[in-house]
Amino acid sequence: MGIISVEHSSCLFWLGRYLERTFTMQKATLSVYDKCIDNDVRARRDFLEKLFIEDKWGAEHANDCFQDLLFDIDNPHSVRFSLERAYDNGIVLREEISTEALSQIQLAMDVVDRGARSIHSAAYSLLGLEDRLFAFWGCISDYVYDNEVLNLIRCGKSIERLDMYIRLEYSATDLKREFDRLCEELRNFPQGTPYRYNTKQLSVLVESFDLGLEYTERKEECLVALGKIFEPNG
Amino acid sequence: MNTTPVANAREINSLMARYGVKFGIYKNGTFKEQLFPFDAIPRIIKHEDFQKIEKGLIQRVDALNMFLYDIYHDKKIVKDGVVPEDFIYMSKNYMPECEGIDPSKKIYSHISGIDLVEGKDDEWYILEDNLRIPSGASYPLIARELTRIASPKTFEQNNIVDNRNYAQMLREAMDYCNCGGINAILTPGRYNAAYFEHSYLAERTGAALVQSHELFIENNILYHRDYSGKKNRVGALYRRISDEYLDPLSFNPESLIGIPGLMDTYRAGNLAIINAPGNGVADDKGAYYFVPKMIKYYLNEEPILNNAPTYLPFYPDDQKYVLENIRKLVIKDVAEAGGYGVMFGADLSEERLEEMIHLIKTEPRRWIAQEIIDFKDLPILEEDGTQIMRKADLRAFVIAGETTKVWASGLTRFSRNPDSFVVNSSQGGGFKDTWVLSR
Amino acid sequence: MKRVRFEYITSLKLSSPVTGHYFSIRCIPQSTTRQRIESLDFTLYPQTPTWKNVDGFGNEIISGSYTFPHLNFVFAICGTALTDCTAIDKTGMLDCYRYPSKLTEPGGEIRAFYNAIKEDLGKRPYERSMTAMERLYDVFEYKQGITNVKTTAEQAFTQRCGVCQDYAHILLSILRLDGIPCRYAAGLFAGEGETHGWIEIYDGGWIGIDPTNCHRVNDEYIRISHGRDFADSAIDRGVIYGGGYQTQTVSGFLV
Repeated sequence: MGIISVEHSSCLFWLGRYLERTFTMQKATLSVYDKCIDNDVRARRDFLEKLFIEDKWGAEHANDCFQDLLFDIDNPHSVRFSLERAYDNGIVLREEISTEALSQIQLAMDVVDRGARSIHSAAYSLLGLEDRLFAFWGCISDYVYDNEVLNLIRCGKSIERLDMYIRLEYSATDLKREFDRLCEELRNFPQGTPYRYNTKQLSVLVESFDLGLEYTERKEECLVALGKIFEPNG
Repeated sequence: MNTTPVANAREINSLMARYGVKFGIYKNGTFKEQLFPFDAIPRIIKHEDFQKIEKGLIQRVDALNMFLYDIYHDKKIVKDGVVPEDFIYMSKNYMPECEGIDPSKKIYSHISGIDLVEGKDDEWYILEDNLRIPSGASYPLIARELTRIASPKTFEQNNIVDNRNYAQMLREAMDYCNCGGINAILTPGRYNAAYFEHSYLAERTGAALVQSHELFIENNILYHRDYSGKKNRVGALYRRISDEYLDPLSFNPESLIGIPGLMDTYRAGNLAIINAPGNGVADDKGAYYFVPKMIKYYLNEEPILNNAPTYLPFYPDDQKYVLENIRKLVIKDVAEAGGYGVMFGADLSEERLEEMIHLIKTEPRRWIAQEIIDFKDLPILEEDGTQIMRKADLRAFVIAGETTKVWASGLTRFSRNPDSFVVNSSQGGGFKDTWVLSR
Repeated sequence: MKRVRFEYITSLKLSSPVTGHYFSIRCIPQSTTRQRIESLDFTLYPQTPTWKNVDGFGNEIISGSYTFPHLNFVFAICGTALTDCTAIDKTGMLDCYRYPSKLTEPGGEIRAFYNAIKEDLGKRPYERSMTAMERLYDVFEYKQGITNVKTTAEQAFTQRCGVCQDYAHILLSILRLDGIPCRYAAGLFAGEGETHGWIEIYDGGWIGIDPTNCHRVNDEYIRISHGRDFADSAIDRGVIYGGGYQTQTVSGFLV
C-alpha cells in the first residue's frame, strides 16, 4: 500500500502503545482511588506493587499519590507522561494519521492539563480524556485508508493492553478476549515486515490463555514472551 | 486600510492551539515550540492592486529563473556587461558544483518567497527575494481554514479570493518537474523550527515526508526505503535543508542530514530538486540591485514592481552618494541573511559611523545601501480590544511550474517592537491573514 | 613527450564491519592533449555495481554503495598515458578560477606579500606566475605535521611552512589577486609514494607549475582531478555509517 519508513512504523506502533497506556492507566488509577474512598488501604499498595512503582507517598499521602499518577508530567508512570510520549510519536505521523487525529491528542493533553488545575475531582475532569481517546480511534478509522498503518497502531494498542492487564492480574476472560483480538492483528502483518510474529513466543501466550488455566502463575513468562513477540523467527 | 477584526478571534486562536500551528525556536540550548501569534485583523489587498502585484511578481520570478539558468551556463548577462563578474563569483552562494546542470523543465526557483512592503505613498516595493527555502505559506493557509470555521459570516460579507489552493499549486509544480517516481518532502526532522509546515504540506500535497536516512542512491537514482524493505523511486524532492547540508560528498562533508551522491543524481537528470541548489547567487542582497536590469535584459520589459532605491558602493557614483547621505540610509551586509547585518545610518554612534565609512571604502563589494521606505503600519489587536499600529511586510509566494502563478494571499508579518522596521519570524512578532479581494 | 605508467590505490580498513557505505571517487585522469590516456583499468574490492558521473569542474566520478557488511575497501586504478607538457589544452576553463575559494581566500599576510612582489613579476601571466612561485619558494618551508586538510592558504602562509597543498593554495591565492585564472591539480608525480598537489594557470591554455618543487610541470606528472582548491579536487570521498574507526592508506606511483 502506502510508503511507511522503518522509523515511522515504529512511531505508529508506539503511538498505539502510549495511547493505550494512557487510557488503561487512567481507568485503573481511578478505580483504585474509588476503593480508597472506602478506606481500602491495601488496594493502593497492591496496585503500586503490581506496576513496580515505588511507594514514595505512603498511606498518609494517598491523595498526592493519585494526583501524581494522573497529572505529574515528570513521573514516567503517569497518565500525563504517557500522553506526552504519544504526542511525540504522533507529531511525526501527520500525513499517515491526519491533522484531525493529531488534534485529538492535543485536545486530550489540554483536558488533562485543565484537570490538574481544576477544583473538580479527577474522576470528573478526566471524563473528557476518555472522550478524546475514543475520538482519536474513531478519527483514524475514518480518515486512514491504509490498513497497514491502522494495523500498526492497533497492534501497539493491543500489546500494551495485554501487557497492563497481565501486570494488574485482570480476569482470564478479559485477557482471552484481548489476546484473540491481538492474534487477528498479528496475522495481518505480511512476511518480510519487521512485525511478523515470532511463532515460539506466540505459542507461550497461546498456552497461557487458550487453555483456560490460571495464567497468573505464568505471569513472568507471559510478559517476557509478549516483549519478544517480534523477534525474528529461526 | 482595514481595522476590522474577524469575529470570534479567540475561537480562532484556540483552534490554532488544537491543530498545533506552531514554530520552534532554540532558547538557551533547548528546543521550544510555541504558537505563532495570529492577529485577527486581516490585511486586505484590493483587486486592482493585486493584479499589478501579480504581474510584477511573475515578471520578477521569470527573470530570476532565466538569470539562474544563464549564470550556470553561458553567462550572457555578464559577458554583455550588465552584471559585473565580481558579484557572481564573490558571492558565497555561487556554487560551481551547479555549473552546466540542466534542471528539470529549466526551473531553479519553483517556490519563491518575495517580501514586499506597502509604502506610505501607496506604492508596493520589493524588499527581498527568497529563492532558497522560503517558508511560511502554511500559516495563512491554515489560518484561513480556521477563520472560515470560526467566522463564516466574514466570508459571506466580503469578496475574498479563496486561498486554500496553495497545496494544490505546489503539488502541480512538483508533478510538472518530477523526473519519474514519487514526490517527497525532505525534512531535517521534528526539531526544526518549521517542522509544522513540513508535515502539514506533506499531508496536503500527498508527498511523502522523509528524512535523509530513509533515502539512498543506487545507479544514480534516488530511492526511499519503506519498512518492509521495498524501494520507491523519488522523482521530485522538495528539500527543507539548505544547500550546504544537502550532500556531504559535494558540499559540507560534515553534514549528517544530507544524502551522499544527491548532486550527481541531480546532474544526471534523474531527480528534480525543489528549489534547485545554487539559487543563493540570485537572492543575496547584492543580486537584488540587478533584478530590475535582469527584467529588462531577459524579458525586454520595464519592471512593474520596484526595488527600494538601492545603491551599490561598488560603483563610484553610488559610493559617493552613500558616503554623503549615510545618515539617512540603511546599510546591509551582503553576506548576512534575514534581519541580521542590517544597520540604520541614523542609529550609528560616531565611532561606528567612522568604521562603516572606512569599510565601505575598503570593501565596497560587501555592502549595499538603501533609502528607508516609510512603509505603512497595520493595526494589531491587543488583548483588551484596543488597537496599536505596527510595521508589517508581506511575503508573497510565487510558484513556477508549467506557468508561473502567484498565490492569492501571503504571509503578512508584523513586529512587536514599535520602533522596529525589521520584521522577520526568526526575531519574534506575529502574523495576519492576507485577503485578496475578488472584485 | 613520454609514455608513463601510473597507479593509484586507496584502501580503507575498518575496525568493525559496516553496511552503510557510499563512495564517490574522482580518480579517472582526464584524457587531454597534455595527457592522452591510452589504457585504464579499475578494480574494486569487494565487488559492487558502480555508476559514472561528472562534476561541475569536469572531473569524472565513479560512485557506488555497499549494502552488505565489509571490513575492507580497496579501490585501484592503473593505466598508461602519453604525456606532453608542451601541448595546448584550452578545455575546462571556468571564470570562478579567477576568484578566491574557501581555502584560498587571501588575508592580511598574503596581501602584504603580494603587494611587496607585484611590481617585479614580469609581463605575461606565465612569467608572473613563475616569478611569484620562486618568491614563495624562498620564504616558505616544507614541513609535515603542522597543517591539515582544513588549513587555509592564509593560515599556512602565516606559519610560513606546510606541505604541497599549502604551497599550492598560497600560490593560487596570490595569482588570483593578480587576476590570473588558475586551478588546483591533484595527481601523481614520478618519485612520490603518495598523491601530489600543484597548480595550473591559464595563459592561452593550461600550464602546470609545481610550487613545492619550484619548477614547471614536466612530462612526469599525471593530473587526476582538479578544482578551485584541494577540497574541490578531493579524490576519495565517501560516507560510512556505523561506529568504529577507519585507517586509510593511499599510494600512487608513476614511471
